[in-house]
Amino acid sequence: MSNESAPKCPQCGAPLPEHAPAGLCPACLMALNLKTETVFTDDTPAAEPPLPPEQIAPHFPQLEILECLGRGGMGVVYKARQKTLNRLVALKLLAPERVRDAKFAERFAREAQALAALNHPNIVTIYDFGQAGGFYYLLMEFVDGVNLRQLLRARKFTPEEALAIVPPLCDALQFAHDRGIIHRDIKPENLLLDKAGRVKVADFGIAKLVDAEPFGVPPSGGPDRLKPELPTLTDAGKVMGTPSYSAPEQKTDPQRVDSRADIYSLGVVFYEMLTGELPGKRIEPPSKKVQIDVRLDEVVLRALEQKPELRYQQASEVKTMVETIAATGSAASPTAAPGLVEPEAEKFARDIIRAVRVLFAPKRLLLFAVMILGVYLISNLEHATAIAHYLVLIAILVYVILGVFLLPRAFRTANKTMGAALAESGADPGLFKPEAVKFARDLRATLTGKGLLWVADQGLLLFDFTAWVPGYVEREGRRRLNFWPSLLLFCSTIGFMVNGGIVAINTIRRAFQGANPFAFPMLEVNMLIWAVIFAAGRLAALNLGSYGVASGERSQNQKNINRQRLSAIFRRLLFLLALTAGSWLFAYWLCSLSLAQMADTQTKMGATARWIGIIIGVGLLAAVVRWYLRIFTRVQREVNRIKAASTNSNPLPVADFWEAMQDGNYARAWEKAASYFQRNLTKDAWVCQMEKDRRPLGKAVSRQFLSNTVITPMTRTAQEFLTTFENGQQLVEGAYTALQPDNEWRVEKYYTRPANRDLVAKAKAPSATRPRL
Amino acid sequence: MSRLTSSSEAPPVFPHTRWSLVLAATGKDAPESAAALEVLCRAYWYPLYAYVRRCGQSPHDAQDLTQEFFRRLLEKHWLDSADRGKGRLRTFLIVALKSFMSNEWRRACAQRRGGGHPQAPFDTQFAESRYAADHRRELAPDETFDKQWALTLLDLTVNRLRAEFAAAGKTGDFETLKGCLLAAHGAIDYATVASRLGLNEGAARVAVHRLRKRFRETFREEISQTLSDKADLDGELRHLAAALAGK
Repeated sequence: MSNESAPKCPQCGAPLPEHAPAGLCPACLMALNLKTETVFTDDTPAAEPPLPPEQIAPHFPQLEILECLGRGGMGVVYKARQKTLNRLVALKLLAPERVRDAKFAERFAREAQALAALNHPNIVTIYDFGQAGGFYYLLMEFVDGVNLRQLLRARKFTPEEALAIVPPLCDALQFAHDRGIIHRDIKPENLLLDKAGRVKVADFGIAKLVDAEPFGVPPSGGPDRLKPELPTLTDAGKVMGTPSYSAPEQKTDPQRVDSRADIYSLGVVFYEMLTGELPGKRIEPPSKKVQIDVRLDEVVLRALEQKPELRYQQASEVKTMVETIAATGSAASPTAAPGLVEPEAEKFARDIIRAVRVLFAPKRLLLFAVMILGVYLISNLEHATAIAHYLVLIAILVYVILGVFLLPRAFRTANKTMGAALAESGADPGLFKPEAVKFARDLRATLTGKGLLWVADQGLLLFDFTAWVPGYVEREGRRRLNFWPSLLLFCSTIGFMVNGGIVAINTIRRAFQGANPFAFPMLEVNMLIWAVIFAAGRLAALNLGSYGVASGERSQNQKNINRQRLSAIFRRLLFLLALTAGSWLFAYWLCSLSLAQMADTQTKMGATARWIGIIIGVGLLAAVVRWYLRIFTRVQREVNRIKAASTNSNPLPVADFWEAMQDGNYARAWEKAASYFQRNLTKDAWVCQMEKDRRPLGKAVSRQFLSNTVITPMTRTAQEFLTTFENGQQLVEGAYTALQPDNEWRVEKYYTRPANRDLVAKAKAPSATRPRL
Repeated sequence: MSRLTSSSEAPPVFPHTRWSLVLAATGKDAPESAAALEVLCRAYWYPLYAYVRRCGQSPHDAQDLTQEFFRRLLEKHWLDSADRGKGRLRTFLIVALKSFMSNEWRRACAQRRGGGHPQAPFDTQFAESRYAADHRRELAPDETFDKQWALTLLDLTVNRLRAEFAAAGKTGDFETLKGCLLAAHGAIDYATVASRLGLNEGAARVAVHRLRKRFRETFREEISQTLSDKADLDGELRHLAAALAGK
């Protein structure tokens, strides 16, 4: 549809849609709703339009007025250049209609003097103030950058970025508070970020000057804060500040507003940076909306307390808290869902209850009952021994198959895909060399400081019996029962405690009896081995089980993230190796034990106990099987994530599809497409249709990349190409590609549309934009 | 399950937005909630239609689908399973539509071979012409839905304002003031506006200011009619603003 004759909105210049409400531009209407204007409840006379620079310039001979930057509630700001010093400055002029208002002029003068007293790298510096040509003016530092509102609109902040902005802000506020100045209107529009990334607080336009105590105690400390005798410019009943960001007491009790109101506003800004939204009536902790350190919750919520007494009393307190959290990072503790600090005993009890509830959920309970029933029945049968033989033989066979085939394959595939992904993403491919050398190097790294710390951490984890695998796992928005890891954890922990406990007790007993405590009899050596195996199983369960939960390993550098993730994956694979070896040993032992001793067992009790041991062994086997598969897919998914995150470009397998299309081999293209595609359209129908469509066009001569739009991150993208055909015609070919359950990207929908001139022009332009991380 | 009582005993949380009314009355045939649901459906059918069309259905199929969806909705088949925690009509409708499209539509298609379609609650001809004029192919279906939702809300608000003025007998005033609604402070020629309204300049300024305020209030009210919890209002507003900007 051509747009040459389409009407345009007089305000924003966008074309007006045909069914616009009442003929008004929808975008402007919406913008009308979103303005966060500073509210002055005294009658604001309608403002006259800001004067153009030429009219101002004669009054300021020492300045070269460059352009009008914008208008706030109090005045207009121009960008100018000081001729003598040859530096850029911001010139703020009091709105002309205010000049007649005596109160405002006084306020303006106060602002100037207040700000002049504030000389801080994070506060916009005042150079001069005065009166010229009927205007009151302020000459300020020009901040070459954007305000926080513009940044918030453009993108959401990562927690690290938010944490980086808050401390300098606190510095600025504390500085001002120490000098008796409250900002009273902290909001994203008033927080400027220059190109160097420095934060500056601006627009102390409605700062209220609170005089310091006579004996030099700064007003932000001490119980007695207010000097009501000072002529305050807030007469009773008038509210200052922007509604969403102002503290409750600014509305209910403006006379009692002090520096803690600024802390409230800071809290709102912080909340908005973290979650992208303003806190509602019931404030939801940010960690529920975004994945951040839970300690930040406390900081934000405390800053947002309705009563000033409950908030942080000093901005410097906020800064200390935030810096501590940023420095220590979040400990990726494998304990279950993060929550408020509770007494250890209660947490332990809660975890036990949860684990019990998970393991003994009705369906599982039924399964267990059936198993135990089976045990009793089988042990009563005459052919018990024979069945035992067969069961264990089958178990060994399965183990062998798995071990021989799956594990090396898992490593090999992991190598291949990871190496390819790394090479593609530009990360150092030497990071993941599949040779023994790398193994050894990793082992050496393990034994060095960082490795030792990690080993110590794992050691602590081993004996931390309050650590459990979360019962439910939230994946793709659905909660799924985390059964197999829980089962493995259960079995391994019991095995570890029993075996380790017996060995420990016997060792101690021997020590008390005066014998050599470490002279382990054969049985105890076995038990020690099992204890180690079960310990590996337990650690693996905890490490892998927590894999999906919040990981605090985030850093600025994308490569670091990749490296950490890859080493984490590597560690887990190592564990799996240990687990497999241990399971083989265990099964072998079990087999030999059962074959030898099963027939000897006289008591039913003994038999049942042996059987329970076998069942647990089989359960372990089943868990391991499932885990191979899951590790496999997790590695794949992780690799895909790394690929997608760092390159954000056309995933490889889809290139096959396009290649086939280019060759005219539509049948092969169909084969490369997703199963969804194939379900909707048979191969013949597709090939027929394509050939029919393409016959007049001829072969595709050239294909130019147009766009790659991410529809859902790491799940679905849309790509478009501009294709020129033999007969000179041009078409836009597009495809929706999606990540399939087998972790490959495939085309789910293919379409064409005519190419118009705009697209052709866009395709010709150099597309040199590197994908933003 | 909260029962909708009439007058004497006020229930602890009295729902007074249309959507919360509808949610509160599940399981009991309350005429107020049925009326409220009907009103909501009439207002918001177009975004759903736009979504279905954007998903790739032909106009005919889309009309059938939307029709069938509303018929089922008005029979309250799904409100029993509405998640009270998520109190937004917009999300509820789109989720219900998506699940309807993937599950029941196919079955309904197989059964629905026979004439006598029930009367559509909306004008299908107009729908298609508007869709053809309006839609942009760059937007994904979800984004189309959200954008049309926002446009529908704006429409409703403007129409309500117009109706208010008409009720007071000042239709002409609305047309004049409408133009000033969006203009920047400095761009309005208050003298002409004042003369057209028959007021002095100061009063004209006040009238413009009042209209702006009233617009904002009405818009917020309209949004809150689709929420069950007024605390969500700001979040919903921001979401709609982003959707309209076509992020």
